[in-house]
Amino acid sequence: MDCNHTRKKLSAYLDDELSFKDRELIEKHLASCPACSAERKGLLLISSLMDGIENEDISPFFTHKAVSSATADLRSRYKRHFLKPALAGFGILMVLLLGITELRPPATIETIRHEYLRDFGDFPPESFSDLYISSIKGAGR
Amino acid sequence: MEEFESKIMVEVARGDLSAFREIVERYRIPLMSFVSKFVGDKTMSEDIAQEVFLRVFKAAKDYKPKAKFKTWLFKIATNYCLNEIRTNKNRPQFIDIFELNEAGFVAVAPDVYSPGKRFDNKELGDILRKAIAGLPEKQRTALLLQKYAGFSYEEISHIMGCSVSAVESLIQRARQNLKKALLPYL
Repeated sequence: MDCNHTRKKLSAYLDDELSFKDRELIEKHLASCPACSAERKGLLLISSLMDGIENEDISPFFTHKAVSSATADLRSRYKRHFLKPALAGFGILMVLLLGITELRPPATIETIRHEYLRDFGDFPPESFSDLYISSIKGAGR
Repeated sequence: MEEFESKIMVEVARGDLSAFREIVERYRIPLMSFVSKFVGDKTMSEDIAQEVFLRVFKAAKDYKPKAKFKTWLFKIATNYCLNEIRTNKNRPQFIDIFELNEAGFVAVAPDVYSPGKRFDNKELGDILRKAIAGLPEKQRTALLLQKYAGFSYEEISHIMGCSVSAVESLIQRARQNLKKALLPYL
């Protein structure tokens, strides 16, 4: 293995991503090439410096904030999937009911009188109440 | 582990907030570690990590248990970070250490570099952060996924949608670029 090929594979070698055979070839070359060996040391140094970068402090409210965002998303999903169709359905129902009411023929005094008196039509025959209701019905005709 | 996460994601897809909390608790540290180095800005990185978790919550129904959860999560994170960086015009502008080196300006910047000055770990860390933030997007993505999220080259190739040998090349070039950038400080 030459220097050019070794240098291309150095990171994979350091990250343990090479096959056993390639690893052996690289190690053999490194043992005999001071320049590639120095390159390896340089990359190792970068790697250890990267290990040394401190992580940013995470806000103590991080998880709470994430869960709150998820809760808000759930609420908006609920509104979108259930509340809005339900409100739309209710609205359609109300419009239909109003429409039906408007479509009914207007009530006259005669029809109201007839409906009202129909409820008082089951008195015993010839009783006072029967005679009274019959007289009212007769008066309306 | 994967089976556990698959089960938990089924609960998350049903809108279970305690299952979602478990996912956040488990992955907030590796995700923040990756995102903060990717964007190089603390406030921005926390907002991005929050948004990534929200996207996980929203997309939980689309998660296929045969895919490794961590790979899926970091794919979302990588795409979102790249998108934010490209669209956020007000983000802090990083000093391009590579260009400074090539132009020979680094050696005359008195507050950063002076001959014979020994840099402590904190200073080197800051310089390294800036150098990482200045890497080309693909090199930065591959290197950070390997270093701070612990992915193998094969997993990185799935996340980035490229071949394993491309990942190998990207990581190698990223490390060489960092080495070049830090040479004046070492």
